[in-house]
Amino acid sequence: MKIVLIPLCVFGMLMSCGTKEQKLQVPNNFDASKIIAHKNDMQQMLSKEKLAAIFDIPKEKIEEHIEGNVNDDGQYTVLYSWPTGKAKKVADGKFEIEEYHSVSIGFVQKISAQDFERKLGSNEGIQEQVNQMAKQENFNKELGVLEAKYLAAYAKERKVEFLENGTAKVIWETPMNALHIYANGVAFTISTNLGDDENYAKQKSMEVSNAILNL
Amino acid sequence: MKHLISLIFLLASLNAYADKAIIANCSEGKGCTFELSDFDNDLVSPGFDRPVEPGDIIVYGKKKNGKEVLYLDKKSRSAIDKEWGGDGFTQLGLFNPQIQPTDGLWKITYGTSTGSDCYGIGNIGAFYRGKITPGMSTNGEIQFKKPFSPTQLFPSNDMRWRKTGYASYKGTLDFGNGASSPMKMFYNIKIVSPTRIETYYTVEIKAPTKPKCEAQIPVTFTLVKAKESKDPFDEESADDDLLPVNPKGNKDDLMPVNPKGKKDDLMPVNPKGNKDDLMPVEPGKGNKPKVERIQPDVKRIED
Repeated sequence: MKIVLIPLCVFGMLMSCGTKEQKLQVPNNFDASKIIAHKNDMQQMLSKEKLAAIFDIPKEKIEEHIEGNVNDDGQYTVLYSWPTGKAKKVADGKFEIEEYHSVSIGFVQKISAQDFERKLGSNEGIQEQVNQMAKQENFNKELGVLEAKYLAAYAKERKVEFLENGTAKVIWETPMNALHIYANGVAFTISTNLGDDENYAKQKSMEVSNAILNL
Repeated sequence: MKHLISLIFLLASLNAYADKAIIANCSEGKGCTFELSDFDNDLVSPGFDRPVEPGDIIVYGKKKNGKEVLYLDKKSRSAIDKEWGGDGFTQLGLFNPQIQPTDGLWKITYGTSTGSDCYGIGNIGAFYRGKITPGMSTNGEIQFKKPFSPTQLFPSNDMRWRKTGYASYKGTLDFGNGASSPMKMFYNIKIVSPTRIETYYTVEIKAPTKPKCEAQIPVTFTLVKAKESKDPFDEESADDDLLPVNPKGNKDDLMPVNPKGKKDDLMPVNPKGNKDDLMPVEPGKGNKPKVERIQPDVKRIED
């Protein structure tokens, strides 16, 4: 029996290590103003070295792209991507492209905990987005209709999960695989493209968030 | 959700639209940007092995090795973005270019025009060669719209634009009615880099029972001196664009359309637009799609 139990215990320990859930670790002296100050250059908050360590990839392979070309308030994101070494078929197999994984960091904003939950934890935020779109001074109706349809379709499949955490608030959103973090009056989002394993994406998002919060 | 659906219907009822093509501009490892093109789906079908269907997204992809791919895809914007290495978060804009030309002083150089024999006119290429001296150039300050729009290089309401590849556009000015049109002019634009744009005009003339004759006139734009800007994000003056071709022109300038038209001109049709009609966005306003700027927090929950 011992012979059977020992390997089982070892296996169980290994499994528990593999599935160990990451928790958001907000330091006691966390200063939200640091993130706010870097909302338009979030690459200052997360080095390639740290990313390389989190994802266990060579730093040299990580590319950095600024998404969008404007510093619109809260719209800034930085995308880090790296080739996985695999190929990917697109256009029903007609073309082959290199597969990349990526993680983006951005959408920093000052927000209350209540608004954070209301906007990101429900579809109310999507409704607000569409309403605001219609109020735009130079509203392009054609574009607005298409965006509204797109958002409505996404709202139907969107799921959010409130992750237990002490002082901070954490929302995991699928199928986007994005982690929304709120701590001390500031919110930001980590979006991932790390393959099909949702749990892996969630854990890695949490690790990236911790790297930012504990800079 | 009810509100959302009713708002969509409200918006949709404001106007009846033809299906406009959605274009994905993708780069390996960078994901995609998405734009609502300025042309109807039915105009782009000839470029593919099947007609463009509702729900199709036209993907212009550029690989790291420089190779470009073009295909139709019915996947969601988010899925296409992730395939190309993006994070899946997408927004729809209008004419979202991969390469933004630099504002500043540009030199416009005309190349050697070529063409075939054309009834009544003789060799249409020779006709243009007589008008344009190859290598002839003019300089002009150009402040490009941000994002770049090909309409700026040929500002006519009658020109139908479509994207033909990575940072490439083609405008069609039809002086008749589709296939039976007696005359068409095409304007091909390729943004090679922020400092170089290669373009060429093609004029096609067709009479019943006679073969089509055509002429091609290359025009290259080269940046001479970039404009110094204190604020790279200042777009308030973006619409104060100067045409690369002097609108008043002189005899030797290659003006694609002569509004007043002369007897011997090859452009017998007067485009309907007037000077002010040609601006696709309101003067004095930023021409970036406003939709992109709203509610950053909310945008995150878009797929």
